[in-house]
Amino acid sequence: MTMKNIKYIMVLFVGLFSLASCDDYLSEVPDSRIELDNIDKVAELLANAYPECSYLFLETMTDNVDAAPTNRTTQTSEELFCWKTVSSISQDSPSFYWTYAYRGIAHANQALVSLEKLDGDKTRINAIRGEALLIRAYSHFMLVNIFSKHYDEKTAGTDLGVPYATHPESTLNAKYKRETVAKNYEQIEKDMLEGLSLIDNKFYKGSGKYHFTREAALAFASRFYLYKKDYANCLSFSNQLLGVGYNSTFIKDYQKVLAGQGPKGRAQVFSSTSEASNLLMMRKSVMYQLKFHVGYRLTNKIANTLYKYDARSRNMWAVNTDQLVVYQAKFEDLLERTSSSGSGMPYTVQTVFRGDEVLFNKLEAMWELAALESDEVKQAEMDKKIYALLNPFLVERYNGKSGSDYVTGTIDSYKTMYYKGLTPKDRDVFKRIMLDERRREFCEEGLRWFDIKRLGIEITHKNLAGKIDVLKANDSRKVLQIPASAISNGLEPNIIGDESPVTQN
Amino acid sequence: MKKNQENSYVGRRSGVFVKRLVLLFFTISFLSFQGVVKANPQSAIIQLNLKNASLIKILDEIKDQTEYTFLYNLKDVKGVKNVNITKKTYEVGEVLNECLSGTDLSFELRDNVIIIKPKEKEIKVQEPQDEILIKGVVLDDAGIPLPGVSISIKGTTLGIYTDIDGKFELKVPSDSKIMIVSIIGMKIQELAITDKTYKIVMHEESVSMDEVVVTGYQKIDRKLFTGSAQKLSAEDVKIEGAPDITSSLQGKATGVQVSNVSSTFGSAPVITIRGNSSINGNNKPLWVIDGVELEDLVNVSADDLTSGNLTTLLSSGVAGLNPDDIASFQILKDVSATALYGAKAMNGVIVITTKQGKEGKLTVNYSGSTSIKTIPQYSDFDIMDSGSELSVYRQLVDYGWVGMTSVAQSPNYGALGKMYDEIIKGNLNWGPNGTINEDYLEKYGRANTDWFGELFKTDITQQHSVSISGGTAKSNYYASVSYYKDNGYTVADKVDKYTASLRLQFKPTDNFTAGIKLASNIRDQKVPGTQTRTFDPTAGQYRRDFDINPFSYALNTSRSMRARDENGDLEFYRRSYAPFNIVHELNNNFVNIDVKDINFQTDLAYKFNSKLSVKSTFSLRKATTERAYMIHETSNQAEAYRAAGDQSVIDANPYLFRDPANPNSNAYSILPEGGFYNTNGSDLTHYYLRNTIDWSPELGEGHSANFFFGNEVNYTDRSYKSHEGWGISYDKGNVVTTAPELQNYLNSNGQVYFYMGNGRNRRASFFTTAAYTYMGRYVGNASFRYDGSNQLGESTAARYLPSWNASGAWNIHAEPFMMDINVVNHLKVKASYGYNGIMGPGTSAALAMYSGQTLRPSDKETYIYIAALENKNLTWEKMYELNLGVEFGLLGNRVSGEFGYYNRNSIDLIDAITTTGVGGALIKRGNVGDMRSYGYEFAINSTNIKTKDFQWTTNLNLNFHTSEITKLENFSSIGEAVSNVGTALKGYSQRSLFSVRFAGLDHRGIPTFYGKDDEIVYNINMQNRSNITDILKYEGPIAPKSYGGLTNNFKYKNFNLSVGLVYKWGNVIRLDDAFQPTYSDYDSFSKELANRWMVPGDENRTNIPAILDKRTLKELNGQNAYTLYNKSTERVAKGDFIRLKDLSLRYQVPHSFLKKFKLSNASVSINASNLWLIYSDSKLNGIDPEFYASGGVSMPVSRMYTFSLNLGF
Repeated sequence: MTMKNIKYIMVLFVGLFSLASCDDYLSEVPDSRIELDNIDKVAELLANAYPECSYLFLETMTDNVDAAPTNRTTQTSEELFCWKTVSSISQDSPSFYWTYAYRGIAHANQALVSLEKLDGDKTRINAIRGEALLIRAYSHFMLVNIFSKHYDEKTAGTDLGVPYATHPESTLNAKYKRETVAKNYEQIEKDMLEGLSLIDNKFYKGSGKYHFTREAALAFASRFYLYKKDYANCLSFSNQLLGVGYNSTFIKDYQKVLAGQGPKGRAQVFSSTSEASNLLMMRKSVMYQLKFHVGYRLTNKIANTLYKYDARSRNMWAVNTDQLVVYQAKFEDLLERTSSSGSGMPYTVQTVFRGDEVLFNKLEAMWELAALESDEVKQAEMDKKIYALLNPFLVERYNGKSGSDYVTGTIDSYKTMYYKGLTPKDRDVFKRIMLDERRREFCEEGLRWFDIKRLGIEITHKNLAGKIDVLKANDSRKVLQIPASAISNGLEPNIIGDESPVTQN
Repeated sequence: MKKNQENSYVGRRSGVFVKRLVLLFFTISFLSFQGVVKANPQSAIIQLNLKNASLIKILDEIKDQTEYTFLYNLKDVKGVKNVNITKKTYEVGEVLNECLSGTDLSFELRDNVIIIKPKEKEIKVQEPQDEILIKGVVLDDAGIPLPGVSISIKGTTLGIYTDIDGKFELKVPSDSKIMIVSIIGMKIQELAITDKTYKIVMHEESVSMDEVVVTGYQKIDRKLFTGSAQKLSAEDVKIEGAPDITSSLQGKATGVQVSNVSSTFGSAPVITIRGNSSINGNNKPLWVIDGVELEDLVNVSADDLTSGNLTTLLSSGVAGLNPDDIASFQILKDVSATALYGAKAMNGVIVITTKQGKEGKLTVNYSGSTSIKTIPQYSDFDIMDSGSELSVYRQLVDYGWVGMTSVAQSPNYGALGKMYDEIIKGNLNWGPNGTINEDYLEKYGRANTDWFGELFKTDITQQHSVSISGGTAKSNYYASVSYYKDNGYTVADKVDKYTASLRLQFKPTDNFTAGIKLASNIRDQKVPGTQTRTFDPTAGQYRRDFDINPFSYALNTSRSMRARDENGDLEFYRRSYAPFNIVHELNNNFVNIDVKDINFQTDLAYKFNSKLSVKSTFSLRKATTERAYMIHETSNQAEAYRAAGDQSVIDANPYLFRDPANPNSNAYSILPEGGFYNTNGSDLTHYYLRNTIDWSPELGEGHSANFFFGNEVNYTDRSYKSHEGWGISYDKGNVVTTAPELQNYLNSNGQVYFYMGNGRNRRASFFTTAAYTYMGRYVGNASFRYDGSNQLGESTAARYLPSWNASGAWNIHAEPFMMDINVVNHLKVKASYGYNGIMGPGTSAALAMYSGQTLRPSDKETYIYIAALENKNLTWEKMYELNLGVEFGLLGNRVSGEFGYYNRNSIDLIDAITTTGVGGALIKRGNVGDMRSYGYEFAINSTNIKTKDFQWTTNLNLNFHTSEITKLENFSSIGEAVSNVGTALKGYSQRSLFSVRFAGLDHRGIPTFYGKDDEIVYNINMQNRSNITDILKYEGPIAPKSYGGLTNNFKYKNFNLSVGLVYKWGNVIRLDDAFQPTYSDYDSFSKELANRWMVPGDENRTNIPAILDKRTLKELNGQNAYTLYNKSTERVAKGDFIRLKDLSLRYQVPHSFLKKFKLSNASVSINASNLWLIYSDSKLNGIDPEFYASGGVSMPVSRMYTFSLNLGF
């Protein structure tokens, strides 16, 4: 054997498998994974970018719930009711919300990055980009409002916000830092407005209600500017959806809801994609709508103080024969089965933006703008406009078959109905009615918590053990603690002060 | 002696190449050292580089290069010196002809034995007056006839060799006194001539160590091997009757831990070599068969082997092999031994070599066995009899748990429920004053149903294998067929397995060898219907719907239920709201498993000269498996889909369809008729190609070196498919009735009726190794390998892994100074250090996205989801390993053994961490863990007694293993830490079991526990992941700290008795969940329950929790005290055991007897396996410590008696 022969064999062997062909060979995808190689797929990625988590757990922290002695309690419901840091990371916990909101954001960010590398119909690309930006803005908006102090122009520049994720993560445990609330709002506003300018309803299949339509985006802008106390913009975006005068198109038709059969049927109508008032629906992995028997719930007692002769009270259902706990049929309880048997993951479809909310945003913005008006005549004229918008809504809700005695179509009737003892200026009663109606309308939808936060409402809870606790107007417990895993990985925790003194009943 | 036909080629060839031997008496013979690599055993081509060598040298050289053994009488050959040969390469026959021409010797080839003997010439013996004829047979220890044994008469020139049947006949002078019987490798015997017929048994000169280490790629001379490896011949390991030979590796090999977690055919034992090197990875060793990696039919992780899921029956890679085809196992343990396999081999390698044909006449072998398994007995377990069960029922009735309404709404009920049901139907009256009807229940109280007896059979299995082998120098063949039949251990299972294999080898020219292997197997198996279990994280428990595992059923079902009523008809109870009888269900709900597996392999080798050769191996394998779930229309599983009795059942039955469009209408069945035909298929395609170059350059006297280069390509495609067939009526000719709402039902549940998926695994590797030795005393070895894989995704940075190792050995016994120390025959120290890696579990370096369908009531659309974010720093799991070993052989190798130490530092192990969540995933998996594991191994083989007729040998092996996780972000939840598979935590072993700390029963009989600060609690959040070691007690590792086996072999004449013990020590076991606040009349009860808390004050005498009444349960307010009790310090047992694993007696039929039947070999044996669990923790109450009662298709290993027969023609 000569050296020449050896060389020849070596070349043959190595040549059979050079490193270059090796790389090709090893680039085979290991399974049925997807590559984002066209804009259709990017759009499909966004279908999963809407957060699967629900903020319904916030309801347990509000004044809409109370202790029901017959209900079993759980650690999580106890912690929520007593405004303590929640240890659970499962469904219906702040950690779960944080995790899944950011999971949705990661999908949106990936879509934005992938979109830049792809060609296709320009308006379609823009529309997808618009949707991604809106999802990113919305999820961050909800996060900052749950995990930070409410936006306050004076302190927002220093108040701790949440990390604003704008790029797909590429390392195992990337480090982030919390922005300020002001910075968060700035980023949200930028993404939201850009998204609003780009989205196009025509690209959505089906009802489009599971995506950010232009209508949903306007509702988002309306809420954003209300929370930011930028009332002019709130009014402007609200009007873009509703028009200037009263428009019943986007107002929930309760007679239609009440025509549904039983609680399940009514919940179906309430959360139907064909309801015009439902602007954005999301599938949520949540158990709140099932756990009537667990923890602190809307009680018959609270429901009776909230609703009288009200169409909404007719969608109220008792849980047990003792009728201590009630619920409104707003959500269908659905199950994603994990086997052919009964076990599975409960979920529901939650309407996260309703036209009704935009109306209330608009009314509140108008009221606040009127409050700035020093000219009493002009103010009275503005109030008249508010009244002209509020009253048709009230008629719609209260013009039920019973209780018509109380509903004569004038605002004074409501005054007698709920606020007999009040004698301040009408304006204040106005506001009370507006905010109370807001509470009634969105009871068991989770939004009450944000009102308690942004309006500095003080509430009192008495737990099953009889402990009474007051959540003060500026209570630090109105800010929920960020997840333990986020803190242990270097994010600055919220400073949540000592609980207010506890008195034993 | 007749001339063998097979070597007549020698004659033909010799005519062409006849050369004269030149005898030069004065030159010094010289032989170059060429021992590093042995040639292919089948290669009869040899290279000789000899000048003036003695014949003995030449024969030695031939022996080194081939697998031929020589038999000759030393005195015949030692005179032939200074043979000069003319060519460099020869065939064996050729060179022998050349060497022997001119001498008065001739040779004869039989099997792999070359017999050199004096030419048969007509010896003119003077006829003395008194001459006698002596005759006889010469046998080896095992009773096998020895051909070519020299029989000579001391002091004369008379002599003869035994023929192929070991027989001889010799006329000797009547005054002959002593005959000398000799053959190389055996002790010479001198026998007094006193008789006319003899039966002479020759004994081996010494117990020799394994000669060659087969790494799968190379065959390395044992003395030049530096790694840690152990060879086991199939003969030594095989337990007769066991269909899967791997399970019998238990206790046979040092450092190899085998847990036989299930006895169902096809399920693989959990095998680990030197413990687990990864925290979450697949710690299974790599299996290599005839040089080709063996892919499992279905990927089942080591943890899932205990799951009882149906896929476990496809997990054993070697279940498809015919055990009789296996020649040997080679277990490669350290990084030096496994170096050439690179990544994938980090957990060790088990190399199986199958039998192949040998040059020689055609031989036919038959082996067959019949086994019987015994039925489990209630007396072995701690289960209440039906009379005691009834007393528990009375308390359940008193507390209101079982009553009219609860029975109507209960998904399951037994005897008591049946009584209520009869009362509801008006067929039966209440007892006095509206109490339970004791008269009716009395027959159930007496039932004491033996469920084991109802469901188990004295199983008879049969195994038959026939093989044919033979060959010439140009070609050889081995072919076998086998059939295995198991009639079923239970009424619901059976197996038929057929295998066929063919191995051919051709040698068209002197330098070229081609091998072809074809192996196939077919399996038809039936098992009870089963579903995949699911984990419920809140309860920390697994659940399996419609489980009808006969063993679990017998163990967990009330004995007051009867399988049959007074008339002998099947008696039905209720399960999942539908009528249920286990015997009926097993007949109507089963799975047929169908496996077809074909493997084709070619091995091509070309030898340029004695120094350089190339080899190429290509293998193609296709395997399809199908699992068909036959769920008949009358089965409970089908009936459950239409159980809609009264309103409460309609409302509660989860299998009914609730039409979303009509929310207030009643639920109804979407399976109004028929049952299910569900199929599940998985296909495997595997290509494998390896090319190697083997080069042994000439370095000069005493030095020798070997270089080995190669590349390897591995291509595996797997595809999976499943299909659900609803509404088939088997009894009506398989007519299918599909409910119109079925699609709607499936959509609303997020179910699909068919599915397909696939997996692609690509690997490419280069490797090289260099070996050097000086005088066979000092050995150095180094190897390097470069692996690439596609499993980490597109990232080109992560996909490659270099691995390397260096090792050395010192053969002390070969040193000149050791020559005089006769006590020590073999002494070698060795050390290796290396670095290797393996693909981590379930991770992707690149962004991984998959698609799915939205699950919501309307607006269905396709979406894409991110399954794993990019992790650009992801890398392989890696390990540094130090291995030290001493091998010794003493007293003529009567005592030999090995001591080993290993230390493994595993780094970059994959585990989960929690992140901020901001990137989109709260929990991510990455290279976050390090672990150290180390251990000692000790093996000793000794021949304790050796006399002519009796021999006693002992084989003992022990292993001590410790592991500690040195770096990990502790992620485990309490639920995981207390579960039966334990968890991984920093500072503890690879898998550790923890318990909730039991603090006694309270005044109501409710168990209490210590919380984080030792406060008394009733509730602990199972999903809590922080500070869990403050709350829990560490119980111990899941894996044993020590394990091993002891085999004693006694041989008396033709009888051989083997006694094999295995032991494990140091692990802990979580007992099955047994206690609840309340029970149903469906479940069996532990006898301990009789000792439960009954009245206040009992908390001072018992730790068995009370049955709670409704009010007390309400007080408990959803706290998980009873769940915790099942996971508490009260419910842990030690895993230590000693087992008499194997007891076998073999009888070798004497040769004289065989002759009558024209047999060359025959033996019969009886064997008892798993005969006796000598020691185990009494807290296990009869449950096998190796068995996980996971239901599904798992079945404990049972006692088995086997009769087997081996015949050779």
